[in-house]
Amino acid sequence: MIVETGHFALVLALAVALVQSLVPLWGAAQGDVALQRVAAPAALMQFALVTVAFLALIWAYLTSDFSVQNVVENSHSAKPLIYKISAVWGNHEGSMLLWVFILALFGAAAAVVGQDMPLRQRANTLAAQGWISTAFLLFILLTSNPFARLDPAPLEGRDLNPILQDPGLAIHPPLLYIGYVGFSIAFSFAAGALLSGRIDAAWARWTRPWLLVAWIFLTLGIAMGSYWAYYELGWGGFWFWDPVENASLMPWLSGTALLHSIIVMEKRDALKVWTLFLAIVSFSLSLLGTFLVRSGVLTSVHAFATDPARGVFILGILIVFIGGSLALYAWRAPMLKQGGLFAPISREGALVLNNLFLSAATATVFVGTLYPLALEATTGEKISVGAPFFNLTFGPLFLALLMIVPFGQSLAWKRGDLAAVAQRLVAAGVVALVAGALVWAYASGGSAVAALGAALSVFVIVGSFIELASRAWRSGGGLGLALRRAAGLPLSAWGTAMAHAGLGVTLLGLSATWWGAEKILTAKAGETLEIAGYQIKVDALTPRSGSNYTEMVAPMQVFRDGVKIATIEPSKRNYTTRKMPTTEAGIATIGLGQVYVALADESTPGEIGMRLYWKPLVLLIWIGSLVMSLGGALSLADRRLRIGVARRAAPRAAVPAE
Amino acid sequence: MTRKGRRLAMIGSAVAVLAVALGLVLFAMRGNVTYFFSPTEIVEKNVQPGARLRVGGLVKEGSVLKEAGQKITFLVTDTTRDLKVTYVGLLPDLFREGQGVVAEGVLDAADRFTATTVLAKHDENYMPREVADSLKKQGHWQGEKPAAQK
Amino acid sequence: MIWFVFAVVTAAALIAVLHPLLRSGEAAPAAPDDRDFYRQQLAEIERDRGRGLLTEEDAETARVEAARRLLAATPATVANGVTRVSGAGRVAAALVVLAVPLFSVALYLRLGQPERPDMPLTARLSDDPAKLDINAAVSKVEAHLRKNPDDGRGYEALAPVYMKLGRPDDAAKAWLEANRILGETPDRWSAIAEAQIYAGNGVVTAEARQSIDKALAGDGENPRALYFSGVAAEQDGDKAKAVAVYEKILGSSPKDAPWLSVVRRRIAALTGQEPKAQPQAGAPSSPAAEALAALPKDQQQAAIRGMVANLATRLSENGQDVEGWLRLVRAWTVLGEGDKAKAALGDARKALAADSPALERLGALARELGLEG
Repeated sequence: MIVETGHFALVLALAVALVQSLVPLWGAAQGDVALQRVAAPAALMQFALVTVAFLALIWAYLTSDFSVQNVVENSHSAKPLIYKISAVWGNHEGSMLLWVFILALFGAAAAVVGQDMPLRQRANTLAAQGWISTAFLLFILLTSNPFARLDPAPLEGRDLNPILQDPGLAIHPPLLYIGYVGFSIAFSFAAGALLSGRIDAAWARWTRPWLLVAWIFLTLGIAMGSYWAYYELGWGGFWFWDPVENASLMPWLSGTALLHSIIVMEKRDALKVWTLFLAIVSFSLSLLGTFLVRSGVLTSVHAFATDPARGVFILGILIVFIGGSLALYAWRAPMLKQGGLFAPISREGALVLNNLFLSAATATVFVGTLYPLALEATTGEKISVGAPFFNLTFGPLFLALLMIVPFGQSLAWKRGDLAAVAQRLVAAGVVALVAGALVWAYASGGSAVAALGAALSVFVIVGSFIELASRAWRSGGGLGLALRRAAGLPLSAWGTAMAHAGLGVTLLGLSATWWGAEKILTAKAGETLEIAGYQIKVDALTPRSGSNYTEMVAPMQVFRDGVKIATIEPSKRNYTTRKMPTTEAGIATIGLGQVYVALADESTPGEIGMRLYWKPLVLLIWIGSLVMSLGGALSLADRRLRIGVARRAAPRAAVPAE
Repeated sequence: MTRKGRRLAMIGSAVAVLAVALGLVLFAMRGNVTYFFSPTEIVEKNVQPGARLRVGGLVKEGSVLKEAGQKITFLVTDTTRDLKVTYVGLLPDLFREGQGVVAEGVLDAADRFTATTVLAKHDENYMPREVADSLKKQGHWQGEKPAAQK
Repeated sequence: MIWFVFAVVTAAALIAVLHPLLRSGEAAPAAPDDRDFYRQQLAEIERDRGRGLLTEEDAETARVEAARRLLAATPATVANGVTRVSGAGRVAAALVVLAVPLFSVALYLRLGQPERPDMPLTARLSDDPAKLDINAAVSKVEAHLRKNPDDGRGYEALAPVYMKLGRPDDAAKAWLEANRILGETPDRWSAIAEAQIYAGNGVVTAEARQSIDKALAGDGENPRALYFSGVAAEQDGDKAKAVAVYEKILGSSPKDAPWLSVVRRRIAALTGQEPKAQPQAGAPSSPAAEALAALPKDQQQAAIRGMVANLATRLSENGQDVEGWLRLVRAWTVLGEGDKAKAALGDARKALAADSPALERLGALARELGLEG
């Protein structure tokens, strides 16, 4: 009964989403207040219904209800509780339900928070949100229904794909989806603005918090996914330029551009039309990502769900939404009041440059991801575009962007003084050069790229805070005054500095990969191996069994100068239900670096093949992402953003329009 | 700066950045993409030794030889022709005889290949798309699972 | 009951959506507009200047700009301020009341199965044991053994059930576990041999031979182990040895042992005497099956394959035969042709694509045989 109630609630949510898509829009066109007011309760109701459906599916997983096909295919009664829950979104149907759940959550939140928005704009925005819900609810119900039942019900499920049985997977998709779907709000705001024909600085201020939320979560989601691939796939790599990874990187890049252009719009009332375009593009890229992952058009490590019928449906959604919104844009955007122009050397000028580089970088990733597909579709030739391509195209563009980050941050609005900024950044430049030289000396004979990368990252990190320092430190004031001033700076200034510094931290982690070490070898029990100054003693292979797998563990002890610093247990697991082996890497974290061991199959008895890595500063890659997200969170917490315009104006709302 | 000057500066920098991006893409496309072939195609298309490429097919039953120092040789077959692949390193978890595989590396001769990366299918339902296509062409892959399953 | 729940949910949805439509004639509060935004911006600049975050000069520039934009900003458009509750609201309300429930129920009836209850696993397993089907019982025991992996008796009890269910691999594993925990016995080794031979479709594999040897090492007269060593000898082509082994069984068995007739028939077949027409225990029941049983083992296999191939041909001409497809898939699996079974399954699904009960049966069979997943 719970299962069927969930199913019915999902169908009803579709009906409500249809009402939400049509009635407020009609009302906005007619100028009818009552019809426009339907939008908010419809959005809330839709959220309530999708929540019921989502909880019902989780319930089916928790109770191992094997009359539900989705549960049979992805669960097993002996699975630990956390994986019973995470298995809900570890498969195609469930993950689409999660997608819609988050979409409805954002819609409901926009309905609640947006109570201060002009009614008409709110109606149009929520209606746009309703279209997206309608499309995806239809997709779920018609092609990927998680509530399909099986008769007779089997007594045991087929278990979740073992590489997905990991805490990382429990949180990676929700984070990523909050990011993806969060851009839908920016899209809906843009569509609403286009329909209402009204776009101004206040629009930017309403949209920016949503955008920040989406961006923070997308950043975390990408970082989490990368860390998961790093320790779970057992290849020691963290980014493969796999199309699915690119699919999440593209909205991140264009979303980052949007985040910057919307600031220009808010502060300077410029770049309006471009900002709307970016809002549409960011969500379109999110949809494209969903299409690439869910349609199975790719050769990819993420090929968990492949089905041509679904692919065609999502392709349809993609075409309708991207085509439709671009058509709406082409039709309405020229009618919007254009913003002003501004001097090239200024904060806004620098932000335009930032947008240019980010858009160009997005375009290179786009080409590298879709060109192979297009080529195969037209000529039948199969190519793969991997790291070398992206290192050559995306790499230089992004490095150039990083070069200008501290400059842009230090330039004043309206008219900046490049010479003065350069003067202020001299300190950062000197520190960076010293750091680069040190790296060059330390990793003697090491790659010049590593030294340059390290120098650049230090420049970005130091440069990010120089602007804060120069705002806080005025000649004549003591240290105490400077600190008080620094504390008094708006949170968003701190947020900017943190986010930019986070980029630098990640780049430092990436640069450090050049002076890591890697060995492939075979070892016997009792042998001691050596890598980058660490000694690793291999103990005897021991079999072990978990609740739904058996494994061969090779316990190892890590020593430095005879002192034991860690014990690691790399293993080869075999998940019994799916008869599928996985490699569990043994990882010892030493400072910010890691010793990483992945086992091979036992070729000759008693001998274990393995791959040993020393990865210095590797954790910085993900710590940098955390710092970036923290910067976003600080920005979001800024009082001025949080309070917004309208609440302040509320007391005098009864005064009739002048 | 005049209004016109500002506009020109904006457009100029946009064109410059996009031109650089386009140049990089075109340059990288020439040297940094790898083509995918089946063992038969290598012979038919007369691919020259020294070329960097991906080759895919099935791991021939009984052909996997493990030598000292994690050196592995095996035959990749599309059931018409075989290609001998040499690889040093750890094989992926799902590398098995009779199963699909994609190797990336350098062609030494028409029938010998040194791999730098070996990818196996990633879960039991999944055959690398390239391999599935080329086997389908040869009529050895029964293919497409019906819509009812994943 | 379930329809009552559906009705409540639908009513809640309708009330939420209808509420604003029926709340008539209330003036809309004036919406904030750009001017508020710039007023606030001015106040902010003032605050920042007061705290010394902005220099006088910067503050002045910013203030002038904000003020200029404040003047330029348009008041909120008329559309936002005027209330116009038209008849449209009532029309929309009527449409919604009709359309939402109709649409939802119609679509749900197409997709859902309202009559099916939830089937949580714990409830199914704790049902009255008499009603419990064999698969449920097995999975219950399996769950028990996962928790108590050293319960040798559990494995001992489970193994013959596995044999009955046609899962010889699992049966062999269970007996091996029992051997490990309870100690090895010739009886269990001979049972393992039987399971291994069954798993190998009648071929006495090297593995099975080892099991037979272990059984005979413990008890040289174990009839089952002896019998299979005889079969092994037959398959090696060593008729004399096979006959000798079978004779030995006859000599050492009690006079009323149930296996005597089987052994006698083997001897008769080997020594060229007329095989008795008496049917084997529990075996052939149709003329075709009887004819089959009379053939030597390798020819039997060939004949079976021929029949299966015939069935496949017939089905490829006329695919509308569910029973036929089920038989074919099962047959290929039994013959150890997993790939052909899968191919047949795929063909069957194509041929019967329009027939959903048939598809479900195919799916159930595929799961039973482990062809998917």
